[in-house]
Amino acid sequence: MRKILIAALLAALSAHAEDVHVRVSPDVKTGTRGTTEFPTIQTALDHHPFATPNANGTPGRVFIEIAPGTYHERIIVTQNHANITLLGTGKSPADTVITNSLSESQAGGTFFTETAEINGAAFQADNLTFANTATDGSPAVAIAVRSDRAIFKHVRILGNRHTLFADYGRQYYVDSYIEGGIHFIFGNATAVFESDELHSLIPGVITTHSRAVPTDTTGYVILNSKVTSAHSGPVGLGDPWRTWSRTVFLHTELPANTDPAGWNDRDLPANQKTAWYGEFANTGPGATPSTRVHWAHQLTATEAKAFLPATFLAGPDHWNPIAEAAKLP
Amino acid sequence: MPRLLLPALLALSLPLYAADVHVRVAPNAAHANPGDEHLTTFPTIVNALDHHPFATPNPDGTPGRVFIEIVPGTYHERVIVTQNHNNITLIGLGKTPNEVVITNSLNAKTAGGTFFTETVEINGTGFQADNITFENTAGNTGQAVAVADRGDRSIFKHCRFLGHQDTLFADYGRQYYVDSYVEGGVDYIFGNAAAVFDRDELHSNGPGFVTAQSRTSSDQPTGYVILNSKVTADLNAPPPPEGAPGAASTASARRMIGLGRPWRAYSRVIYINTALPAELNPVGWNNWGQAANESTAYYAESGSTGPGASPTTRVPWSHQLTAAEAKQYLPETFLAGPAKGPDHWNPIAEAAKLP
Repeated sequence: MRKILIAALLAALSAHAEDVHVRVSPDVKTGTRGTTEFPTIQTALDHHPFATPNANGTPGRVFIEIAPGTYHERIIVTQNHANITLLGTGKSPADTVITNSLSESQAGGTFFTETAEINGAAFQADNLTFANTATDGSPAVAIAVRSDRAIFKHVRILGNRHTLFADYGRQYYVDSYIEGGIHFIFGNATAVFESDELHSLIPGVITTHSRAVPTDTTGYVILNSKVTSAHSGPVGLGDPWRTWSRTVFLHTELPANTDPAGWNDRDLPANQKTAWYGEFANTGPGATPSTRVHWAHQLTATEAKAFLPATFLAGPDHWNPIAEAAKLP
Repeated sequence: MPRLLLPALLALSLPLYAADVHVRVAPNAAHANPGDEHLTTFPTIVNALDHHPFATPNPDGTPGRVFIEIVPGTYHERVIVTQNHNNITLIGLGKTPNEVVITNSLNAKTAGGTFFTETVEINGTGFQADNITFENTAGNTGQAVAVADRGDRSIFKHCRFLGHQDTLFADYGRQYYVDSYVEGGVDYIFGNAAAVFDRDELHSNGPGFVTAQSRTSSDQPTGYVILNSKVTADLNAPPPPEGAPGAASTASARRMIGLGRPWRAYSRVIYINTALPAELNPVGWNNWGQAANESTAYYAESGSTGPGASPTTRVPWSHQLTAAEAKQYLPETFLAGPAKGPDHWNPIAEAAKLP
């Protein structure tokens, strides 16, 4: 009797477990409803059991644990799927790769090329690589992120042009690697890149943020990071995809081939009055405040503080991305 | 001097604070590039979405709206309304929705998944479309979405949705489709939205299920309501080739159509005061091969009419509602918002403002 009771209790507990853990591995043969093992990431997203709220009322989370391998698939996390975590279970992010090849000319628009599209809130990814291997020179997005409170930790985001579409919501990229050619980080998100490496593959501008109205609180912050390049041509820090574009580089190491002017106005002088670009305490041979365009800003320590993740990403709900990211392996 | 200056300043500042914005799409317009934010005519719908001036809030604090007015023509493009673009209205300027067509052709196999096939993808809230045709011309070749709608408080009025399998991905948020036409074969309205189809024609152009709603738990307020509408069918089209995605489910429908089947366990669909055709399988609904779904899916009818209306022959696990029981599914209630903190969205009043 006692045994039955314990078994019943355990069964009841697991039925009400807050978080859900499922596994993805190419050697899984099944992958339909009722299982927790899937052969592809998308089948896991389609059929994972749903998490229930935690005892304290916070929402449960679905952890999708992905075995090392190359996953040739496109994935979408829809608005219906909040609180999804993708975890690579390899030794490094290079062991678990989600990859596809689609460029603007093939897909019918840059916005339809992404290997991974993230629209659900509070998405997290850890120890993974997202890649778009298209090489025809037109934009080809590895990941489009329109998720508020998104965290990427130990990830690699690989592509040639328009690699990371950081477009909507508050986003925190930490201990990660992002590479590409022209405009490889773009969109209108409120995003902080901390302790990352941004690697330029061909001469061009790294960021093209697209804030469209001055009242938006969006912008890109590159913090405690390192810019590297595979070439000796100029590397620009940013230009305005939209008029009120906003980007700052703080405490970041800049290479010798950083464009001395730093920023450009996309040949529209009017943008100089609306775009807002700043730097503070950058290092390396490319950190040359005196050669920057006159309309860019050199910040004081106090001014720079407003862009630290704890402040810049806090929002009305006091989101703490650093604490959240620390919970990830 | 100040007296003259003041009106001039006012006139200058007014356009900056105009609440709504109206732009036009005409194929012969010049293409806008970054920096061209002053333009108000664009050659494609995407170009207009990329470069329209932004609307400012109305004096009463409600958000302004961007009206994209589209001249008659066939627009071969894929359109995405991102989360950054709330309160967008697409308006066709033709006499009927047939005159403004947004069309593309992509099926699941070519696109790398059903969810990447859509001609038009809506993610911004408060989206509206009026007098427009949305089309995926991939044909009877598997899943091919014309519109993926994940916009809360979206309204489609006088629209046509054309495709075969998986035509309309009504997936997230509250959605109201009124005076519209949706056609397809297999599962042609699918997803997990809370959607009301009011005074619509749902036309089956091949055997299969009209709906595959995908509610995943009993506490979600989602479901499809088909209200004061008409289901029609033309099953003379050839079936998809054997082995094509969906061919098996077509067989299961035995050259007939069904009201719905559960894409996910807690699928919920209610037909109210709707005319049903003779081609409807008398059992009405299907459990998608899983008996367990019969205790979780919620399928109901109230006041069905036409040759397909046949309450006594329906699967025993479906429901017949009285008019009083059906009332909770009327748009003003079903789409009013969550029990806690509802925003009392009134889709009927909103739709009435559209031409």
